[in-house]
Amino acid sequence: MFDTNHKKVSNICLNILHNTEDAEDAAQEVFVEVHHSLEGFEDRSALSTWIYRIAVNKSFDLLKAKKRKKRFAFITQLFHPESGEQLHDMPHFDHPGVILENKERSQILFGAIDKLASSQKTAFILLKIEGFSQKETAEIMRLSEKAVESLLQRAKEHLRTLLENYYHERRI
Amino acid sequence: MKKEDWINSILDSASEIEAVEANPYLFNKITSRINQPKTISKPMVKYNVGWAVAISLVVALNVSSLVIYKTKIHKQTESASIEALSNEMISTTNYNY
Repeated sequence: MFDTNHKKVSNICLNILHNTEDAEDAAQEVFVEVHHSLEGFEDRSALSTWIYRIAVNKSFDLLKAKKRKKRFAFITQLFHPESGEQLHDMPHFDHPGVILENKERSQILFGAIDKLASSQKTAFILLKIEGFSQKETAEIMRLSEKAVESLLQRAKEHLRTLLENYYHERRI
Repeated sequence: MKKEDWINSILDSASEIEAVEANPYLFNKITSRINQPKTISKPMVKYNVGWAVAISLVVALNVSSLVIYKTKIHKQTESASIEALSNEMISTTNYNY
C-alpha cells in the first residue's frame, strides 16, 4: 500500500502546501492516519481514493494551522514592532519538479493557485497537475463529476482574473 | 507577449510540472512514528492565544472607557456642587458696615 501510493501522496501534499518540509510532515500524517483507520475502512471507494482524500484533508489542515500561526505572529508583532521578524514568510514556491526554464511561470501559477478557494484549488491541482480524471477527482472529493467540472471552470476563471491583474501590475 | 497568450502559457505550465520522488526515508519515519510507545498525557484545555489576547484588549478598553467616563461625571458633579455653593455664598454675604 505504501509503495503504490507514497509518491502520489507526497506530490499531492507538495502541490497544496508549496513547501517540501511541510509536504513531508503531511505525508507522514497521512500514512499514520491510514494505519490507525484501516480497520474502519468500509470499501465504499477504492483504497487509493481514500488515501488521496486523507492526503488532501491533512494538507489543508496543515495549511490552516500555518495561517493561524501567521495571524498570531501579526498580533505579537503589534506588541514587539521592533522585532521585524517575519516568522511565517511565504516565499515564491520553487517546485522541484519544474525544469529551469519553466520556473518563473510555475512560480507565478502557484502564487495564483494559492489565492483560490480550497475546493477550486483542490479540483485544479488534482485535475491539471496530478493528472487525475474527472471521475477519480470526483471520487476523491466526494462530489459529482458535474460539480468537479464546475469547480474547475470557476478555478480557471478566477486564475485568469488574477493573472490579468498580475500582468497589468507588472506591465509584462 | 500579448496578454492572452501570456495567461495561456502560465495556465498551460501546470501540465509541465513533473512528479517528484518522495523522501527515501519517509517509510522509516512513518514506521518509527507508528511504533512509538503511546504516552499518557494529561488533557489540556486548548485555547486560542490570539483570540484570548484580542478579547482581553477589548475588555480592558471597555473597562478603561467606563472608568474615564465615571471619573468625568464625578468631576462634573463636584464642580457643579462647588459652583452652587459659591453662588450661595455670594448671595448671602453680609456686609457689616
